[in-house]
Amino acid sequence: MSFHQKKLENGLTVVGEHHESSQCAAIGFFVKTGSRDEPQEIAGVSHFLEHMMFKGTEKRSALDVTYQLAAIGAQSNAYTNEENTVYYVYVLPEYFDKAFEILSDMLRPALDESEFNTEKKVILEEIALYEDRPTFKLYEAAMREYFHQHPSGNSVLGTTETVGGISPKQMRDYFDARYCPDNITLAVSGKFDWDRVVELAEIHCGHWDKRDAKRECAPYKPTPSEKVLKKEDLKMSHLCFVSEGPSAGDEMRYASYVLACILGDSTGSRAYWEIVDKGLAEAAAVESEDMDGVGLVYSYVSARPEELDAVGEILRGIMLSPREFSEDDLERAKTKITTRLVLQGESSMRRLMAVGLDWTYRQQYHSIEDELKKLQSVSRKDIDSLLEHYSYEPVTKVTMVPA
Amino acid sequence: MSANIRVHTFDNGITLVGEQRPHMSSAAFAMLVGIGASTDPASQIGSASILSEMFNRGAGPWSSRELSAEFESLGAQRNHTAGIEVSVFSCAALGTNLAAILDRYATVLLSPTLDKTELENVRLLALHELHSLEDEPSSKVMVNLTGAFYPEPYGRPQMGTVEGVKSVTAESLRDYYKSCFKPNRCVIGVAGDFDFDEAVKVIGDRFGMWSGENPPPPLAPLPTKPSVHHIHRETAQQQIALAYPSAQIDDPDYYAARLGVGILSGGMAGRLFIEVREKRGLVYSVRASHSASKGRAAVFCYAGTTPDNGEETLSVIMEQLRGLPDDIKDEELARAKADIKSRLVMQSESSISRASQLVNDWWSLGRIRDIEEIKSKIDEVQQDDIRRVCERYPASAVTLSTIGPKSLEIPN
Repeated sequence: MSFHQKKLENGLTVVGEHHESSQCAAIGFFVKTGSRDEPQEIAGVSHFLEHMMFKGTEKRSALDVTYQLAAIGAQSNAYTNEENTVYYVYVLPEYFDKAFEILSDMLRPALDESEFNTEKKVILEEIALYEDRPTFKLYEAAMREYFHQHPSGNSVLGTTETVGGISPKQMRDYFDARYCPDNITLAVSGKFDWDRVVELAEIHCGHWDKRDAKRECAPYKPTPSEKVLKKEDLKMSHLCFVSEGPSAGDEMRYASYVLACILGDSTGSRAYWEIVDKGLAEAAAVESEDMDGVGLVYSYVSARPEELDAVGEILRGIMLSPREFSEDDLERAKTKITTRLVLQGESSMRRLMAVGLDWTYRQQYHSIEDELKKLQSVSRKDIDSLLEHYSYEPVTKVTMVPA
Repeated sequence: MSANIRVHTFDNGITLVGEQRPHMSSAAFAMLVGIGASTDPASQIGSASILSEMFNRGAGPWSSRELSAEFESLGAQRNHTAGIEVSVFSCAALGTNLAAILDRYATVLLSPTLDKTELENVRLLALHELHSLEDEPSSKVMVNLTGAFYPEPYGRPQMGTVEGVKSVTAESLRDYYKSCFKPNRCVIGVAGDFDFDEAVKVIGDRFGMWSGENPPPPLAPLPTKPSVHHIHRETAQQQIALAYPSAQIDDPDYYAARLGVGILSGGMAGRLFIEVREKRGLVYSVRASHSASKGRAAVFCYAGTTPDNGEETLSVIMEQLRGLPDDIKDEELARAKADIKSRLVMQSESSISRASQLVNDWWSLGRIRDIEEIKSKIDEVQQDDIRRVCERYPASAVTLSTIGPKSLEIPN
């Protein structure tokens, strides 16, 4: 395994993690833009734009893009969240050059008006789809509630109204402002020839205009609040807490991954034994989410409506006593996380995501071995000092109950 | 069969299929046992699902917590699913821990405690899951479709029914375990960095005394007439799911049937995605898949759309399903082939998914297909083959299941 990195003159950074024994290659563009970078009157534009990137370029119609990727058996997709928009393709090594060329071309979209109008309907369908998913609605509401006016709480999908009102010109302006080479990381992983990657990047991305993109990164201190959502015909109720946590640039994030695993992993954690094992809830989880300049700990439980309050109190109790674990608990959580990491190393696609986001957030590279060392070295002392900064005490509480 | 695949059959009927991959540091196994909702007692549907969870709740000398700690200290990433036909227990870990983990699994699967108090907890959990399903219409519609399409007992919900789950007792579960959890149809697939001979030894030593047989329930024919099943709900999206019979995995037309579905729904280039979503913007999700289990196979199709678009969505889908054999272009067939072949390689990248491939092949075919063999079978398929399989299995005896504010009819 070897790591490579190169910055093109226009500011685009190219990184690669090479695995000789891999049978596949993965290529991804990591654009540092998402719902937190959107003016709120066009909320949802990042995600809508992500869809439009598949709808044709100067050289290719929408069907050309789709058919040409399919012709080489490339598995391509994209996602958008609060702070990143990621485009990726998974391909057999013999089709690497072709896949690279198509994906690079897609990053300079035509934004054709008739395609825009059709795709808007697809986005409105997607918004309707998530209306029917209680856990998604809960998460979205919790992010807004925790972050109040701070842009990190912006909805990724936007609303029917904001998406409905977006014009092609507004989308073009947003694209011009955000898709600058210095705001994008190009990552590759699996089997590839690095010299060829640099050459391809120069040919297909070297002409992209050099411009600057900035992100507003105001510091944030949350204030306690609660919200209740109601939904018709709900059989199960849901509750979540949001607590403060370390950001993506904070070394304490490793201690927070381990602590979240001790408290709320899907099996063998405190939440598992105190809640799920007893049949009190279908699921209970604690996750540490580090973001750009901010961070949070999301804890969640679902239960029958009549039991939600009691189960919620158990979860709150866990979050209020995060130091209650044994040395064995700590060691087991570390073994779990490190095994998952080793398994992750066997998938080019999963490594692509790890390497691309590592660079996007930190301009750093961590091999699996580096990460293993950081996680294995987490001690009780590290968790204590994490908790001195971030107590894990719930700040925000959101519930979803039957109307 | 490729040189690094080895097979060993034990006296009690267990088959071990292994593929050694020395460049990996992990190893994974998937163990399939012929017990599922279809083998549950008719008044206790959900028994297999409850049983698969009860294995985690104490075995041999271990309490539930001790058992969990035992596996966690070996870094075992465990999973279990009880399906309609079979239950699968799978696990990935560092290759060096594989033998120890198999050893622990023997205790878990052959000496489960099946404790009464634990059963009550597991029952509650199962009921929560069934209630949650009611809140997830896109999953619920597929469960409804399976029930309407497959004849008893193969259409049963794999999570069980509320009545079934409520009526399982500690005694009935123990009887069920004793009579139905048998090695005769058991397949264990292992892939990654491990020693095959060592695996043979551990399995022989630890699972060798497991004995008995459990025959599968008889198969019944699939529907020959169309039918419509609707549940009224005030959902934001209308859920549409349908199925019709197709070619089975041991049928000479199997690969043609797979490619036919590939043309309809091979990623973003499939006709359904292009016609329903890309050209008309009617949906976010639309897809078709070919599902082949032992003795039965079908094309399943799903779409979710806002209620006003329901009729048009279903009508475009049916037009595409029925029009599949017309005018299949060379490039279109080539794309479908490229898609299936590349997925095949990509899905075998991790040890856990390769172990599942091995088990599924052995279970449904009684042999392991080499990746090269599958590729060449796919390459051989021509337009005429797809036309033939469409004639044999037309999209006419369609079972339609919907959830939403409006009921729909199958268009002519």
